[in-house]
Amino acid sequence: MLRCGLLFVFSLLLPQAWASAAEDPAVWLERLVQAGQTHAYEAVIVHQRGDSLRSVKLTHRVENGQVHEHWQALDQNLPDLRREHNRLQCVRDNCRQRQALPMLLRAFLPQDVLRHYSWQAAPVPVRIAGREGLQWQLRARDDWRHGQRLVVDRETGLLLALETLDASDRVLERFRMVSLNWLPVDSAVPVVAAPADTAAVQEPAPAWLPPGFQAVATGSGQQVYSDGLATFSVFAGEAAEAEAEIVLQRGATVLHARSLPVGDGFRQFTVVGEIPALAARRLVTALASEAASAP
Amino acid sequence: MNATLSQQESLSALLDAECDELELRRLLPQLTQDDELRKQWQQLNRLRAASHSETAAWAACDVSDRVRQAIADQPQEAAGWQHRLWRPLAGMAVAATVAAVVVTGAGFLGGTDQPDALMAAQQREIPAVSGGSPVIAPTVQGLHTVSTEGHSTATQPSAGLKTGQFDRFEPYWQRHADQAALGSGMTAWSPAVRVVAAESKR
Repeated sequence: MLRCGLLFVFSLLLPQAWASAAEDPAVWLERLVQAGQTHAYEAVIVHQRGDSLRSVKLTHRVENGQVHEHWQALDQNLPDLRREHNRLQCVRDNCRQRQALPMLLRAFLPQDVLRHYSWQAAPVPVRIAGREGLQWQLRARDDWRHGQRLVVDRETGLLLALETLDASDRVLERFRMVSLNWLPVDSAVPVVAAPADTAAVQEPAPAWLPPGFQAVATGSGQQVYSDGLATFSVFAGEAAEAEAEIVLQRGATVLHARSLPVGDGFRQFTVVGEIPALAARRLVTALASEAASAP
Repeated sequence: MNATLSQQESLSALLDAECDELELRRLLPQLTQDDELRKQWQQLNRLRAASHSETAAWAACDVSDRVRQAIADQPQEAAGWQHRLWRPLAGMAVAATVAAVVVTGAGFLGGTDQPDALMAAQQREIPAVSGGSPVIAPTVQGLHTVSTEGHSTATQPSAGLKTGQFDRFEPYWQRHADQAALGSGMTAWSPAVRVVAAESKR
């Protein structure tokens, strides 16, 4: 009798638990990351930034747990690009090969990422590239990051579309799959040459960081920070002279640079990332302030 | 007089409501006397307004007199342990006072100041030199904001930047894009595409 009662209660709770898991963005973020590491596919992606529209063909394979990607521009004469694990390589035009900086921290827990974003109660069903998807809109809880609108494949969790939004929900940059074909997993993968050397150069970290951002890579005069969704880089180097602050923007990416006298010379501090201009400015100010007060 | 880095940090803290009362009391007289500092304050507010797609009407508002008066009107805090105990609440009260004065000031003064930086970037477009997307290049109060589409914009005199300055920053865009593309996670898409775009210059 007791067993029957427990089964009855369990049967009542199960659909609710299932529904809450389906409506939990943390679950979908985790599925999204896993999907990128377990599925092979070929997709055409449209990229919009301002009035500019370009399309790219992406071949995404996974072998021995490592991701291999081949990017081909479809409507411009640009060199192909390969990404293999922690290396980038151009296929044509003798482009230099680029290797990732040493990673300090690779994983963010979805719960930690979502601490800095809010979202709607339930995802919106949308159809993209012939797939049934769920759209999540993550709004920034502060002024230090942009919002994100993600569409994930309902069946696999694969990312189908990504939009970066400003505080008024205007789209700064948009990526969207327009076609998707699954490939067999463990397909043959082209071999990429040995990585280039990277010299590790430690630079001062900003005394202030937006909440939730952590250093994820460092070296070669560059430090990379992320909150799990947004990323920015900090550069510090010599400058020829002191200049006015410079703020440049490309889609969702902002560049803020400032040079000032430090000691006998000049130092330039530059922040580049998918963060609001206000955040970049505060980071540069913090860096400059720290340098100016250093003995 | 140029605003010191310490003053700029204090302004940022004030904007974020992280400014404590002592800092606020120190900052307000400086805001009254220092034109450069006032400009910095207005610029910060415009940047914030731009990121919210708001007009920066109250950025032009000189809040110092009103805020100082509002603080002076507040009852003095008790000394000793009571002071320490209530300090956070007192700080909040000051912050609330600032907000009220600023908002009131905005409605009173209206938006008479020129938009700059990102605000202007949304309103003024200049055709690109070599095709592609529009280049947007306002120059106000030492801030140069340009929206480009992966191509050099070094020959834009209206941007107020010297020839070659845009190219000088190109490696920063690219190095950031490289690292973002190589990092694991969902945002690998966008930087990877940017890398492709950046390679067109080579």
